[in-house]
Parts: sequence; C-alpha cells; structure tokens
Amino acid sequence: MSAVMGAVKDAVKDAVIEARSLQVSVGGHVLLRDVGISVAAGERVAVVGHNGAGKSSLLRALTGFNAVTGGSLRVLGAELSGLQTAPALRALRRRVAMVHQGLHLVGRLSALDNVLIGGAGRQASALTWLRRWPAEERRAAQAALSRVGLGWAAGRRTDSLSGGERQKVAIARALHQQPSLLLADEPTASLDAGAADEVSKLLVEVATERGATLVCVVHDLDLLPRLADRAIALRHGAVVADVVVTPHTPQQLRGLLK
Amino acid sequence: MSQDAASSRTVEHAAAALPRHAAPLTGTRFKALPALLLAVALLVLASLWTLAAEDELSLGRKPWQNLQRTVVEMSEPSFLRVWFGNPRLEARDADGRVLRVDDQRATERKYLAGVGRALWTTLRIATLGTVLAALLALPLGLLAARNLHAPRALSFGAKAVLNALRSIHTLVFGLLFVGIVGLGATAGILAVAAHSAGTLGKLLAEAIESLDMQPVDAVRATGATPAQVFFLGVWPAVLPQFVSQTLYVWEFNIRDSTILGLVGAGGLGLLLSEAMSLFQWGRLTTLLLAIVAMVTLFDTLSRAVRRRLV
Repeated sequence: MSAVMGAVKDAVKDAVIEARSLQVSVGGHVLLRDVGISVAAGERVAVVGHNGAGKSSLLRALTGFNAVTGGSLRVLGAELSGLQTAPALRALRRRVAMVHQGLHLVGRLSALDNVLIGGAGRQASALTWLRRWPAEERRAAQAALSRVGLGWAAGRRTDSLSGGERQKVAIARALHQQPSLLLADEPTASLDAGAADEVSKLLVEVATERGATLVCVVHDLDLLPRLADRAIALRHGAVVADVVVTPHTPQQLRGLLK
Repeated sequence: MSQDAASSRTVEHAAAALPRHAAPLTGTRFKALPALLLAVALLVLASLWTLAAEDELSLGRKPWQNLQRTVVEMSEPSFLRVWFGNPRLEARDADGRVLRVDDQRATERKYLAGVGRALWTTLRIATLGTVLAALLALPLGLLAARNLHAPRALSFGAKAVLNALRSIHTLVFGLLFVGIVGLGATAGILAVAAHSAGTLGKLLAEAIESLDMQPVDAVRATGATPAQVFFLGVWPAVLPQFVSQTLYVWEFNIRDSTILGLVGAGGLGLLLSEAMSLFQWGRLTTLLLAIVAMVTLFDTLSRAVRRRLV
C-alpha cells in the first residue's frame, strides 16, 4: 500500500510522461522516431497529425501495447523501455485510462457492466469473471454513468446506444478507473458536431475533476482550444511542433501540416 | 530472404500507385475460377474413368424392376395397420388348419410404441452427446484459437485433437465405443460427443478468431488480468455464437443418432437394421417417416431459438 502511495507521490513530482529519443517500430516499420516529450502532471496535451503520423502508435506505446525499440519512455514513474513483466504492466495500465474512437465497448454487455470493467485492475477477484462486483464498485460505476449523463442507460446494452452515448460510456469507464493519466484516441472521430462538442467538454471536465493529465489525439483541429493547452504535432513519426495552444493554433498547425 | 521482402515492398508500392478500380487482384481472381472448374472437371472424369475400368459403375441387373418393387413394397406404411389392419389374421398350414390368429392392429400398436421409445432414446443420445461435446469443445477451442495466444505446444495439440475428432465419423466412433463400453445408448452418447467435440471446438476457435479484438484490447488496457480479459471481453462476445453453434450441432446429432443403432449403439437404428434384414418394407417406411418427422420438428425448433440468440 505504502509502495503504491510512494509511487503516486513520485509521479506527481516527476513528469507524467518522459520520452527521450523514443523509437517505436513494429514489424520493421518505424512508427515513431527520435520523439522527445515531457508532460507534467495536470497538463492537457493534444496530439495532432495526419493519418499514419504515429499518433495512435504513441498512445499505444504509453500503455505498453507497442514495445519501445529505442530510447527511453517513462510513464507515471514506470520505465517502459526494456523488458516489462506482465504484473508491472498491469499495475501501470491500472492508472492509465484510455478512451478510444468508437467500437471499444463490449457490445453485448450493459452500459453499467462496461463501466465496471474500468475497475478490473483493482478488483482481481475471480468473482469479477462472473461480472459480480462489490457493492461499492457498483455504486461508483453508477455514479460515473450519472456523471456523464447516462444514469438512465445503466441497464441498456451498449450496442443499442448511439455513437455519442457509447463514447460517454467509454468516458464513464475511464472515470471509474480513477486514472492519473487519461488517454483519448480521436474520441470524437465518428460523432456529429453536437456530440463531438459534448464529448470533448466531458473529457476535459473529467480530467480536471480527477486532477488527471489528459493526452488526446485530435483529428478536428478546431476542437484544439477547447480540449488542450498544449499541442504536439507529429509527422512521419517525428515531432514537428510542440506549442502552447492559442486561438490561432488551429490555423498555424493547418499550415504546418499541409 | 531480404531480397524477397524488398521486391514484395516494391510490388506494394506499384500497387499503391495504381488507381483503386484497376486493382491487380481482379486479374488473379478471374483466373482462379476457370482453374477451379478445370480441376473439378478433371477429378470427375478421372473418377468416372477409373470406376468404369474397375467395373464398379453398374446399376445392377434389373434396376428398373427393383426400383418398382421397392416403391410398391414401401408404399404401405406399417403404422396404417393400427387402424386398418386385420384384427383376426389367421395363419394356416397346408391342410387349412388354423395355426395362429394374429391381431394385426395390436401387433402394430405395440411396434409403434417401440418406435416411440426408440425415438426417445435417439433424442436422449443426441442431447447428452451434444452437451458432453460442448463441454469437451470449450477448453480445446480456447486453446486452439490463435488470438488467445495459448502456449504453442498446447495450441498445436488441441488443434490436432480437434482435427482428428472431426475427421472420424460418428458411426466409426460408435463401432469403437461399442467395443469398449458394450452395446447400448452409452456407446452412442460417447460416439456423438467425440465427433461433435471436434466440430464444435473448431467452430468455437473460429468464432474467437473472427472476434473484434478492439473491445478485448480495451479491457486489457484497464490493467485486467488475462482471466478477466477473457471473461469480461471475449466470453460475452462469443457466448451467443457458441450456444447457437451447439444447437446447430444438436440438430445434426439428432439426424446422426438415428443410424447409430446400426452398429448397436442404441436408438432407432436398431429397428432400422431389424426391419431391413427381415424385409419388412412397410415398417421401414414407418421408421423413415418417424425420422423425417422428428428431424423436421427439431430443426424448426432449433432454428427458431437460434434466430432469437443474436
């Protein structure tokens, strides 16, 4: 317990993400090259770039789904370069929540069951295999659903919800995970403008309330000022810009990435 | 090796440069179909030729008369005698003395009851066999599914076992198990289970392999243990498919179990072989009608249930 608290304190002191000449390649293809980023606790960072620029690869590297093949990467005090043991990786993933672009919920389960999965990292009991969770987990999950405005949908199967509602369920799952770092991969990609607005607003609010760091891959540059206070632009796997977001940033980045 | 990789990459680039509607794949696809047809035609010709050479291609001496006789003999189902049979059928010797008086209606009523019991046995064999098969198929299918990354030796072993089970027919398993556990329904149940476990295990593995892995990865990303990833991410998604496939195999097994009795493994097949060896064609008709009725009934039932499962 104290070890965990210590790790949390260290993470608050240290940078949440510290990448030094990070290289990631999968199957001989270099996805990220010489990436150097340092993200402090509580920052809200947007990652932008064209398709295939390495945005998603960066997020996958942060949670150990893409192996680090060069340089170093520390996330929440955990070293990701070199060999990772499965328990160490799980301990890190427990503290990093991820909101994907659509279709990442278990469609046949109810919204509440999907949110409860966010607590899987801290509740390893075999009862959870049968989707039986402790009462306080159920209460917290219900609260998370209500927080995103979907309290009414707790018993609904997620494949019967709309795209925007599903994305809110995903945010509730991330919230229920009580993360220190919140990652989002184009969370508004498949949504119409109204829903995209709502979802971005929720993401920022949730991150702020938790005091969590937010790293969000953004496709629609116009959402930048609302989502982030810092933008990192990638091109062909390398960082080409790392700027503070102002109302003019979307325009500047559009020129840069053209 | 590296040269190969390099050349394939150039090919990829070349393909990418082409406009999408001129995809080079269409060329190969057009050639694949004639090649397939040619291969099938060759195989058919070779089969006909060699069988004819071995003098195996004959319809017997009097196929037409035989067909007519069979049709006539089978056209009078024995069960009709329950109502229309002769209640006092007298068997006389050459001198005209009455040897025995037979109530055809009572006899056929008894036989029909026997058919009912045999149908019930067949249904029980198919059901228990399928349940046992599902239980066996679960671990084997999970080990065989490539995307669950079971240890390679186990996965390979499971795949080999599934293929072996699947390629041996239920009837052959029936013969085997009759030799091991003796005549009766137990042999039938084990035979059905052994063959169907192979089918179901393969279907389960394929259902898991074709699963959308994004939600599964999302569960893994929460720091869940491998068991949690399976039970919370994989299982809810494949369960309906697995249940539906089990029902489908159950349908098959009801059909398969009707002939298991031929090798002494219990059920309707026993009556079938009896009727055929005693040349009781009317009873054979009764049995075949009973099989068609039962199979149709359970096919309809299972299909209706499966449609509601998705």
